[in-house]
Amino acid sequence: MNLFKIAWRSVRQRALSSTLTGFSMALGVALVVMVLVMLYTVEETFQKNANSWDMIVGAKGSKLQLVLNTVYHLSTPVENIPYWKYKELRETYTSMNAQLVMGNVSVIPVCMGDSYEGHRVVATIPELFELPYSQGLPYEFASGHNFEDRAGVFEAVVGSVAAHKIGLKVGDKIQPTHGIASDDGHQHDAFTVVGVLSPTGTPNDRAIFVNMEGFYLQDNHALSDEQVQRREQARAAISGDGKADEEHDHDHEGDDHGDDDHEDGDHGDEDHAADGHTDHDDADHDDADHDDADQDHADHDHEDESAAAGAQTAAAQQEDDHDHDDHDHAGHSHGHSHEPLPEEQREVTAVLIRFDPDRVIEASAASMSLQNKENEGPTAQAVLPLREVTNLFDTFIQPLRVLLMVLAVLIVIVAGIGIMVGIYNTMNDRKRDIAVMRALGAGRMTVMSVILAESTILAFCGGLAGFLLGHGGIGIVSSLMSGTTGVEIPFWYLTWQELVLLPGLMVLAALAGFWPAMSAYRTDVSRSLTATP
Amino acid sequence: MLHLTNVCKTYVEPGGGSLPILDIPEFKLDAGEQMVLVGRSGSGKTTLLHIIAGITRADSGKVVINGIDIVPLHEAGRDRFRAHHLGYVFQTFNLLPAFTALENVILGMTFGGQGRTDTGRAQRLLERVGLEHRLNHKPAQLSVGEQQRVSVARALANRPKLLLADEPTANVDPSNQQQIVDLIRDTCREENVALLMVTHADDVAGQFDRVDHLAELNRVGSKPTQQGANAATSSTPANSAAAN
Repeated sequence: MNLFKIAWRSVRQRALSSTLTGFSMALGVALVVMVLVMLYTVEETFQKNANSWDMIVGAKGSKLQLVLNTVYHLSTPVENIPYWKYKELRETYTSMNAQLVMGNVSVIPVCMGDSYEGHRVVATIPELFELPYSQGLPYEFASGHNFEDRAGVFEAVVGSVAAHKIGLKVGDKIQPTHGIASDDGHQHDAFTVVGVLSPTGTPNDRAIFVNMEGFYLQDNHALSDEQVQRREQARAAISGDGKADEEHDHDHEGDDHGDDDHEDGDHGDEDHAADGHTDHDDADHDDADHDDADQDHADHDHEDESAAAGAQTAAAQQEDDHDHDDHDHAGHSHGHSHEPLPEEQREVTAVLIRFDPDRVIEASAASMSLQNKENEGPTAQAVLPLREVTNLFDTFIQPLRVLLMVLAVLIVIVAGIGIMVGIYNTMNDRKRDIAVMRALGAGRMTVMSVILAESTILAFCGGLAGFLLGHGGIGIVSSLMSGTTGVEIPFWYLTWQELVLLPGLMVLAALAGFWPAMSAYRTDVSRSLTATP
Repeated sequence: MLHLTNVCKTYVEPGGGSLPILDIPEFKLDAGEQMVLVGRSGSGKTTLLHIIAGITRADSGKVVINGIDIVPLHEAGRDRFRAHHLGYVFQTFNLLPAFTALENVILGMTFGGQGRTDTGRAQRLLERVGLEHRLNHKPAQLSVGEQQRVSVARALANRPKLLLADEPTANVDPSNQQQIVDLIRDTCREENVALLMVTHADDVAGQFDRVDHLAELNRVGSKPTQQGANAATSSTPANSAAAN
């Protein structure tokens, strides 16, 4: 009969006390496990998502906000940059010559600022879903298909979480709302859901993607003539003498938003096409083919649409015989043209760039060059998302993680003390047992080892139960989290810290038995044997 | 087999004074011999058994068992010696409550340092004491007489050369007393184990050929017997450490 069996019998003999002691240890360890896994998963998810794009080019301002907004669909939306900037970047990195040097570089534009049922609406191009969302992991459609570039102007693809939470399926129609603050803003035309994405574990699961071409045709999503003019002047100034003419100031102050019936919150600085709101008086509705525009417009100020209508003027002029009968705008047809919005009237919120993973050196040089160029110029800034997220974690999350870990470890230490007190309190009752073992020939070290084995058993069982409890808790929390955030944490997810820390904590808890073990060591055999039981 | 020479034991009183308990010039027990030691309460009988068992160390003198003087041995050595050569039957049985009857017997072998336990012998011993149907019962599920029989089996588990029995019938009802005495004597005879039994019971003592009175062996005599008993059971840790 080995010492652990003797100790195990002793643990079983005091089942209630042992269970409570082990349970306190289990709770402490479960907390450590959950804190570790949650923190590391969040960090890993953040970094993985940040790593999905090598560079983001967006409006000048907060770099972190740009990253949070475009990659994680968090924070308030940022300003926009001119469409020509996107075209310039695309030309720079995807031309034949560029491909020879840098391989396959992906340049994806995104336009943001709308929402649907609390989910961000991201306007982009179909190419986004032809790229892997993470290293070697391509987007897959749970149902339906990708939207088409030109033929699918009013088509949408929905992330898995958004589809699940809203209950969207292929064939459903959604009407995005202008702004992200609430759902009571101005409603855009309807987009038809043509695809539902499979879960990716990225923030894109929470988003709704619409065809950028359709996005531009919505109210307030086009630049006015005056804004176009100013942009052209600014661009000419930049390309002319190289001096920065702050063409990027959207001149919100000068814009006439007085007739805007949107919520103020919807406009703020997120208004990707806020400039398009100016000079509504200039809008020529007649030119914009509003033959049925007076239907069902009771719920929004028609003047408000004038900017967009004005923006569409050029398109309408280019082709008068457009046909939008194919699209049911939820009985809300504005008579928009389905012709593409002229590029000079467009803006994008950001341009996402992914370099060829096989051309690391070229990518590094290119990103450095791009950063220098954009950050020194007046129009945009280039941000390394991984660096921003790492900075965020180093600044805020790391200290928080240390604090939580210290708390969790303290809890386990308290549990260890619980083991010590639990065993020590039984020592009086066990003195006779220990004395009997000694009388049977057990040495002082032997009885001490039995007590240490007992605390080891309690620590191990408590630790194991805590480990399972923690991961079970993660499984439950994960199922709740994935429904709201798209971040999935497998319940078996293990961190290396966990594999090091848990045995360490168990050893620590086992050593908590040292004090009562010393008590056993010092037991006066003769006195204990002759004492009245 | 057992030879005590000039064995003295004095306890230190809490006040600092000394309290002599034992001073035995000579005491012998031959191999396989069975004897009873009688004496008044507090006369030092249990202390003497503890000294012979190596649980308590004599202040001076020799305690030679099987040719080995255990007095100079350090504590761990005495523990090992006790495990290998001695069996001990307690007045209050002292079975470990978390273990079954069989496991209590095996436990004796575990500390005996034999490398491995002999479950077969443990079972045979329990069968010998009439408990073959109680092997897996815990002490709380056994009667008082059955518990003492387990205790006898446990004491013989390591094939000791000497069995010390400290008033083994004191807590047993009269109907079982004789059975326990017979059991101890018979098994010791079968195993060729010397038996030194301490008892208060005259009827038990009367069955043995050799009955020694501690008062006759002990030079300390009967002077402070009650005090001695108190000292033996209420010594401070420092005192008992000195005693050990």
